[in-house]
Amino acid sequence: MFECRDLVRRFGPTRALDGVSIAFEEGRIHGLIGANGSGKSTLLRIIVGAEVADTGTMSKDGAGWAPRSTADAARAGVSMVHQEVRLGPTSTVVDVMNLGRWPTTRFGFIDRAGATARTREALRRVGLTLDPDLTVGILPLAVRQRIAIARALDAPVLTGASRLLVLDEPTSSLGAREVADLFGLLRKLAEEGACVVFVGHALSEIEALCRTVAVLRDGRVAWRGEVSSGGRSVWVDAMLGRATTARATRVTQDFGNERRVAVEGIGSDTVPAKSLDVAAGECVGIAGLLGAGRTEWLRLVAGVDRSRTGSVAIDGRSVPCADVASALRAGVAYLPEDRRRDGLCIGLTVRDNLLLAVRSAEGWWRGRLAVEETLEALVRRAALPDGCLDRPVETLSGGNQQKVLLLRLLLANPKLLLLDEPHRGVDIGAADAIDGLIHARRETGLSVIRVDPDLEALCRVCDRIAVMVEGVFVDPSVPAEAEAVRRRLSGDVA
Amino acid sequence: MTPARRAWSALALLVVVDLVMIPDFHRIAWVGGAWRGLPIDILEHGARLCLVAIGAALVVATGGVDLGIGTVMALSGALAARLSAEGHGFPVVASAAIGIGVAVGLVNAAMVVVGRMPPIVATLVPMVAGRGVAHLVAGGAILAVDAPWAVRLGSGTWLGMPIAVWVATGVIAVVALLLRRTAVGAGLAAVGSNPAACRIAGVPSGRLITLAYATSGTFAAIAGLLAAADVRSADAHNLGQFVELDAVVAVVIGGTAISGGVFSLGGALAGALFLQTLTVTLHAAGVRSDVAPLPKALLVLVAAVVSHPQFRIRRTRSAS
Repeated sequence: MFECRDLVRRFGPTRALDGVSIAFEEGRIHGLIGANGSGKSTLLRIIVGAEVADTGTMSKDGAGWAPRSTADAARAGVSMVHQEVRLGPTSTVVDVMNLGRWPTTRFGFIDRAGATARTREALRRVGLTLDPDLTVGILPLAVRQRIAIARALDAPVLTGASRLLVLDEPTSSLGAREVADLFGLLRKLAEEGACVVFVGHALSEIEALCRTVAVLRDGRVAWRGEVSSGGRSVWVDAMLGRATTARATRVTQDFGNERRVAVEGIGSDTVPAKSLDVAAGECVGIAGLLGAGRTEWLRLVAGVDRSRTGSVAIDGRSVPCADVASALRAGVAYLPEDRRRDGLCIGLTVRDNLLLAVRSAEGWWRGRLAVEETLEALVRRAALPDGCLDRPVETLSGGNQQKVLLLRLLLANPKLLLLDEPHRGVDIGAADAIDGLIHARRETGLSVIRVDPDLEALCRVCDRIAVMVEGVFVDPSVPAEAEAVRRRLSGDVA
Repeated sequence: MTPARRAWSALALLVVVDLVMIPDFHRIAWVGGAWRGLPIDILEHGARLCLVAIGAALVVATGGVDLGIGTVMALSGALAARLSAEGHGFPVVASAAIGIGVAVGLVNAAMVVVGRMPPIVATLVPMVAGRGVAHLVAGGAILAVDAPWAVRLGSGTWLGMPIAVWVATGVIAVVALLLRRTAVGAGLAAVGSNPAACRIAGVPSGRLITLAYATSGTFAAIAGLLAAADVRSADAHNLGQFVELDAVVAVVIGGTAISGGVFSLGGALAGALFLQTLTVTLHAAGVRSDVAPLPKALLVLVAAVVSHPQFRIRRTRSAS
């Protein structure tokens, strides 16, 4: 039995975990779900010893549990299987399996023969027969994942300790067959007495695999119980939270069959092809649970990742989706979800960051552009700090950085704006300002496709919602009401 | 104080030290229709380093490094000497020499952009192989370069200043003007600052990186011509040896981040002149040329640390 009681973990003023109590029994598979930022990863990291809780206690096998490191935790039988084995490209299977715990001969040298034999045995336990001297990098993902599980199970454990295996989103890049194989393995491990914690997004998988489920939201356990006592709609409610306050009702516009932007069958090898129409001035929200494939699809539409099938047309004219610059010239702009990694050039000035997209569209050899004269006014209208144009963008707050990123796109005069979590890491005031900037452009005909994990926020700004479940639009046109969207998300359509 | 201004300050400080320590340092005389004196020597001999440092700054701005600079100088010098010896005139000689520089730059860029090789590995290829090719071009000998163009380029003057200084000034001015009047400089810095963000924003990173390497190759080739003309010979073995390292040092002293994203042409210029002044200073101070690298290295270390943008941050952090 593994238990944690009242775990609290703060990062600055925010509480990643706000009093989490949870228990995992041996011989069962436990599901753990929650939206982005719900505190899932923090909880997992504390359980496997990668992080320490500020307050709260944990116990395992009846004794206190306070691992000092992941190695410490592994010795006591607790280990985490990441999405895939992350090791150098040249490591062999034997290297991976024995890293940090090579058997030695009596002279103190590494016992390669012994290690190889042990590796074969460990691989056999997870149903793998392969040459241990193969390079890990050339193996398919599903096999690498299995190796990671084998490594976790092969860790030498103190006598009497039970095993706790944590799998972090193990199915996110597996095919249906591989998922079925993985589930078979996990069930076998649970039957043998291991305690398995399965972190996933696809509710159908949780339903099929797990015995108990815990739902985290805002650092608290929002729901927990046996699978049979819950159900998809219950979990979706728990994950997203019921609307508690009544916001001012907003007039959504019905654009009928009018369409300006036609996205036709955009897809790739891993993303199912999907179509979506958007009218001029319309904002279509894409709702889906984490891992539904929203970001991946937006990136294909924007031309950031190469699309294999489909086309985008604006005003009947085809948009080249092969590279970003030409998509941008044709009027498609994309706001990435991770603004530090994919958005801003953090050391450059606000001015250079603002001009990045326009210059890509207009060419870098052009002299001073006409829009440069308007920057001062633009910055003032967006309520960015005075005189920030020539300051490094990193000196701005997160909300203001996001405004810079959005303004960069608006400067390029897009016809279709693809927004991936524009409120991420942004305070409420800036979030409203960002929505205001977007709304002003919609009045002049800008079409918007928007992804946001916050269903209430999405319904507030969108005219209709397209519901995406496990990679497909189950309903491309749901009215922008949280209740209706939730019903579609849980597959509970009247 | 910006890092570039700090580099200029370091240079000014060094000049002040020289004025005090070296009795003849301030003496600039008008001899035979030209200015002569130690400061003029620094400018004349430093012109080459200034050129390659500007090229290197562009490459470093994109997050890369060009280790092929020294060998491009040797290649260009050897090719110029050979063509010159075969009786070709200056236009042919110069275009061939500069052409080889552009070619090496394009090969470097191809390896980095298309081959996705780390720049330090990619440019090792011309660094190592280039000297061999230069030897082949020179036929294994140290070729004399005594054509009229070499005499004029190596020891000629115009308005009292050495031609080499005019060449470097002109070329650098053109580049500075282009970077100032277009967005290319901002593009180079953006690519070095965050390649992923640039891809998503549609920045033509590959073309910008190619431009940087091609410019660096071109400037190294011009520097090679100047070097060969200066000593009236092309020694494939020694010409331009370790210049790429001096160039990187000059760039770093000048406040260009070695990880890319921030660059300063003025700073690189100050860094190059600082290095050249240091060499002259040590020589004038009677330090033997075979041990001079040691004190030079120590002073460079100090200058690099002091002028580095992060130095200020560290200092304030440790103080708080």
